[in-house]
Amino acid sequence: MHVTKEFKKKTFLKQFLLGLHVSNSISNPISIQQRKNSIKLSADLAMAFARGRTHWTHALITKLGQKEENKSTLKGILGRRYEILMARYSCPLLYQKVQRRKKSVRSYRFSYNAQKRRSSALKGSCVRVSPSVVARNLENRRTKVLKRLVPGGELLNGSALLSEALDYVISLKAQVDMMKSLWRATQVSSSSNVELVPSAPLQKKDASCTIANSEE
Amino acid sequence: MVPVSGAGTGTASPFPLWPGMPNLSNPIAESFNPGMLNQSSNKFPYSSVLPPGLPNFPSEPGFIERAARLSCFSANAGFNGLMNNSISNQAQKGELNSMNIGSGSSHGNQLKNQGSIDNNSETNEGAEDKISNGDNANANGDSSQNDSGSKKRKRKNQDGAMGQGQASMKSQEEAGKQTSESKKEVDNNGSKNTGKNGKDAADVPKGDYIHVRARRGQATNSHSLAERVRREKISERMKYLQELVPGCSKVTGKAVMLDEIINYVQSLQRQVEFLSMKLAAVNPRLDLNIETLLSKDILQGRGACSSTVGFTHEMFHSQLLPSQPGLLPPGLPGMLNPSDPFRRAINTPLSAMNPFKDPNPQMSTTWQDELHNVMSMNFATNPPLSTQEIATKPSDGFQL
Repeated sequence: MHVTKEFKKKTFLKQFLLGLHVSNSISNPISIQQRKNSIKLSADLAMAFARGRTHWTHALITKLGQKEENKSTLKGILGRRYEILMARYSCPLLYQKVQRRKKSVRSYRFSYNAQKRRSSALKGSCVRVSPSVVARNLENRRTKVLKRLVPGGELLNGSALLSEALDYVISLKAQVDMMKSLWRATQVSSSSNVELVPSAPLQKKDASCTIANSEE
Repeated sequence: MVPVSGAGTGTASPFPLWPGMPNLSNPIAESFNPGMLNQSSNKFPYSSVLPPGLPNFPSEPGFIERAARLSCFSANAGFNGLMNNSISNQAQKGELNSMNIGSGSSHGNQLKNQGSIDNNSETNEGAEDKISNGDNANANGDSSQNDSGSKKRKRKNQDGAMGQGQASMKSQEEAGKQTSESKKEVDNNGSKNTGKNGKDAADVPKGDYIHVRARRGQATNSHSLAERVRREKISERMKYLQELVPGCSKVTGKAVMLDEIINYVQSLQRQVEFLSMKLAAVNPRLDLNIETLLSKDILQGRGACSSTVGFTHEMFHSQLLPSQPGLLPPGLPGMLNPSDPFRRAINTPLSAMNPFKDPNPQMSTTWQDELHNVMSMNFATNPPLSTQEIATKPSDGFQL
């Protein structure tokens, strides 16, 4: 177990640093927003690379690669494989199909709801919806949201979607942990290099611990 | 079409396995996970079997086991790409099979490989309208002769014609050596096993199908069987997700679980954004010195620390806060003393704190380790993490 974890950590770190290196060298980003974007890109790529070959990793990389601003960085990281990757996994047709299907579903649902409304208006009574229908609707709505969240989830259904979400959650958690430790390490190194500065108060949400509070 | 990842699940009770079933000798099926076999029986040691393509996750042991199971269970097709040779794959499956065999025998199921004779008798059954093509694993003749409940073999294969099945039956008669499938079937001998459900989670290299048995007193329509299989798959994954997402142990029901999962994913994504913003605020933008520091630091001493802290960060919050002032004694700032007195200075407050509170003792020691590393990095003449190492393309971990 420890071997695999170490392996993943190393891969993640290597990849992350490489990505930062590349993006740093390509364009010297000045604004903090740009820096944040490049950091995030590197982190996501590192997570995808560390995880290996799954559906969501491919989808994530493809999605990231399709954005204009990321292309140069990706090219720098992947090198020759960039073209292969992009050609293989960015099937525009597939996504178009998904888009078209979504539209039709939406229009169908819209018309169905309109019909319901009309009928209820005519009857003058509320539409009785059984609890199972309510549950199903809830579930469908949430499944759609999950599909949007998980990369590559649009194309999956049911149990496959759940398993991809599972995998994605694990990797996200690992990514967050790695970035937290990175952050902590920067804090330590910066606090040891320079005089201690009081760092930002701990935020419950982020829960990153900082050491340099010794002034108080 | 999107292949069904991980077709076939096991049920809650462990299954007998064909004893003496040799390992796979043919290319691995893409869409089936041998890991599925062991999913529901939560007792198997997975650590030996894990493929290298595992994600990194916190070191809580129960979490590790669960996630190990999950990663075996999810996307085995991905792992097939990761594993460079089929040998390792087979070794894994062989191991899984052996584990299954162990469990099967432990439950005292008498599973007999009755060969082709039972297959023929099976085909003659009137209830059967689908014949599973394939192996001697089909030939649980004794169980098929049992008329308890209603049993039905269900084949989810695309190439499914009766004629084909019969032809394969005939071929099976001669060559009962298609032992590539390790099927688990409950032995429904007599009436004592009528209550058991017999769903096979077959290790299907060639045919892409799943044996399903209808339980006693349930509809035997093929559609409802398929429905049930699907539903059980989904509920299985829901269970794992429940273990994974914190605070979901009491939640029941798909819709609420989905909600929790969505919230959790969103919060994790927001955390990533937030952390990247914080990292971006560190000036200058992670130049190489810091990079080397970080890489060495994180790779060396922090494994346990990061994972434990990261995972149960709320718990450690309150414990760490009071401990922090003690960590860096005054007089430290500015230029650093040589490492030894610093370390000693750090050690004493930490050790002094330990008896008072009961934070994780490994917490304080790993903080020590981390600081040691940082100090040693600052003072010792470390070769920086070679730029070649950094600059190598990601050759490992992601093979296209």
